[in-house]
Amino acid sequence: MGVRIENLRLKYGDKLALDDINLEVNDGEFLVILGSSGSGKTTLLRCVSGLIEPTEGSVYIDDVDVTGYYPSDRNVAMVFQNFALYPHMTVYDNISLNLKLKKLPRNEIQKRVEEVARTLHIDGYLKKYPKQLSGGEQQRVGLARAMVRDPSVYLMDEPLSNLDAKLRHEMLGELRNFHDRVGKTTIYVCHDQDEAMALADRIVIINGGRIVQVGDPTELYDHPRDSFVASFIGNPPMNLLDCTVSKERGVTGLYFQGKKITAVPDLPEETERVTLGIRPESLIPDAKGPIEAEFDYTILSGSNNEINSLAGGKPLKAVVRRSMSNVSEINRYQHGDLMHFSIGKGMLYIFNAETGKIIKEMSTDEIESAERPDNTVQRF
Amino acid sequence: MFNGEQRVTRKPVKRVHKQARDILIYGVSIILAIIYLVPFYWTVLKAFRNSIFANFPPDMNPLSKTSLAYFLTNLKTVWGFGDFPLWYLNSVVVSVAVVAGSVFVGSLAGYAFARLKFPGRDLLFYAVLATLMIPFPVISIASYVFMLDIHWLSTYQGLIFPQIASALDVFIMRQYFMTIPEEVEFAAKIDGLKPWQIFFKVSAPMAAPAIAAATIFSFISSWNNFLWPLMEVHSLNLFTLPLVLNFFKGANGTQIYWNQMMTVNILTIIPTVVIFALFEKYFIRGISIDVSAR
Repeated sequence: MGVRIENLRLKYGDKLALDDINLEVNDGEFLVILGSSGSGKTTLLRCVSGLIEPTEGSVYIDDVDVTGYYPSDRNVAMVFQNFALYPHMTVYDNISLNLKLKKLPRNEIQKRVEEVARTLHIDGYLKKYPKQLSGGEQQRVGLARAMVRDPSVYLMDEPLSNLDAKLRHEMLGELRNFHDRVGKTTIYVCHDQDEAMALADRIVIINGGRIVQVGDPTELYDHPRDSFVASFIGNPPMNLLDCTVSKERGVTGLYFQGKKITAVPDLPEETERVTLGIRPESLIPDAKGPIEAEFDYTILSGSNNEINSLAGGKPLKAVVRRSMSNVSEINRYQHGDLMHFSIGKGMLYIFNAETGKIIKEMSTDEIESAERPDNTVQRF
Repeated sequence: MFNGEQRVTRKPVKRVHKQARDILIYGVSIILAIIYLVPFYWTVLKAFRNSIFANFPPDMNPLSKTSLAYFLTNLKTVWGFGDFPLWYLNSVVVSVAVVAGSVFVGSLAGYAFARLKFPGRDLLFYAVLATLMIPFPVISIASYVFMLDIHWLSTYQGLIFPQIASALDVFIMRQYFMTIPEEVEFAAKIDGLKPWQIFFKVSAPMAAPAIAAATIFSFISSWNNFLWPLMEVHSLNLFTLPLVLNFFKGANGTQIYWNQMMTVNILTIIPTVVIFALFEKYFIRGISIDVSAR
């Protein structure tokens, strides 16, 4: 049941648009495919819907190999970013087209359309034309058109991207409710990680036509498999610092711009250069801290201050609770002023500097024990 | 008093630019309108006269009682001349057929150029566009010989088919189809329309403005076409209005019946005006590049 994608590959000429995609979507699951533009996420969705035929590989829906099936024969419904309503048809005709083509009896069609319209609060608009409706109403019609056919799978291609922020937030809740009510497998494509976090049972991160990591939202946040996922999930994104590794008096340390910023337990890989990932929440402005940065600007968001600075030419962000931080001190900083950070409590991630793959993740508590050389631990 | 004066003097200063602009725009528009309307006025003026001779001083009001009476007489003469009603019908039949064929072919070809991916597509499209630059007289002899060879000379199909498939229609349709988001067609595919149904039930209705524009262009070019019917038609039964007009030049061009000729002109203009009035609303949208589309 659900959707299964096996060894899918799509070539445009010499260019690989999708490569080696293997994915299983469980029955009733809300799966979000997350990626930046050009990553192949929409293309992957179109392969599932049948709008694009993959060069290799198969797509199974409810355990039926639907590769090569015409889109309407796959029993999928799709919701589009730009709504894609038929402008020359009334809302009623937009919603009922599929049922009419299936040659359902007229009164059955009417019953189902009206029922769906009531659920989505568009029952007053059935005789109107799409352009007479607002963006949010139009997307509800798009949703109704998908819902009325009772499909095996819902495919949603950034359905909220064309709505304004407030409406998008409202629709997020409605979409989640909608999914909980119908309980149907849903594959949802978006580029916004907040949207993905809010909706998904599981998230698939796709980059350059390849799946990078699959997992539930907290898993992706807590255990990113590489630096791409780490910098993609989380708002503001994780800081990535280019560090060198060196061992002094039996303790391995990470050095950033020549200064030791933390000790680490022994790394499983022998390497001199690594990328250290630190969540903005784990950085503390500290005049004696080892990380040196140039102050850029501060953004206030709710109860937090997001401090933006540049360390070694790259952005370094720190999120500080306003109640905890010395606001007046931060406010004194001017653009270009030198400031220092130290590492507070939280998780640290060490990635391979070349491949970006995770080498080790650890909590700052573990590090404290690493700080003391082994023999001292033994002695006391 | 001083304050009041100040207010009076300050406000118009701001408005002067807008006023000047308005005057310029309206002025130019009015002058253009006059330039375009004068020939029509002259046509009407001549059609509302009783003879080939100009009155002196000329009566500049075509709608006076006597003028109207003259026009009715001219109308009767012209309508009774030869097979005038048949010739009129010929023009209608040929133009309607050309419009139907041309819009059908143009929209299908335009759709193919806008949507389908096939090798050599762009090259072919530019080749089609390039034919816009070839004046009809250049290919007229070849067309004539072709019609001769397939025995279509002096037939309706011979009149109609060479006028079908206009590069301009293909171009208009293609440009418009390209502004229609592909997602609408995707939605139709998922709803269960087959490709040819998508074209007729979704894409073509959405391209209504472009179809209106193509209709007007192909109608006007066929309705006014003089050279092709002149070459093609060897029988009076197949005459179209532009050929008929030639009759009123008089024998050997010695005597020109301006009043009757202009009456025929008025009869000829009417369908064009009607077609334009019907499609004008869409026409403007069809030919203007739609920047707000996305």
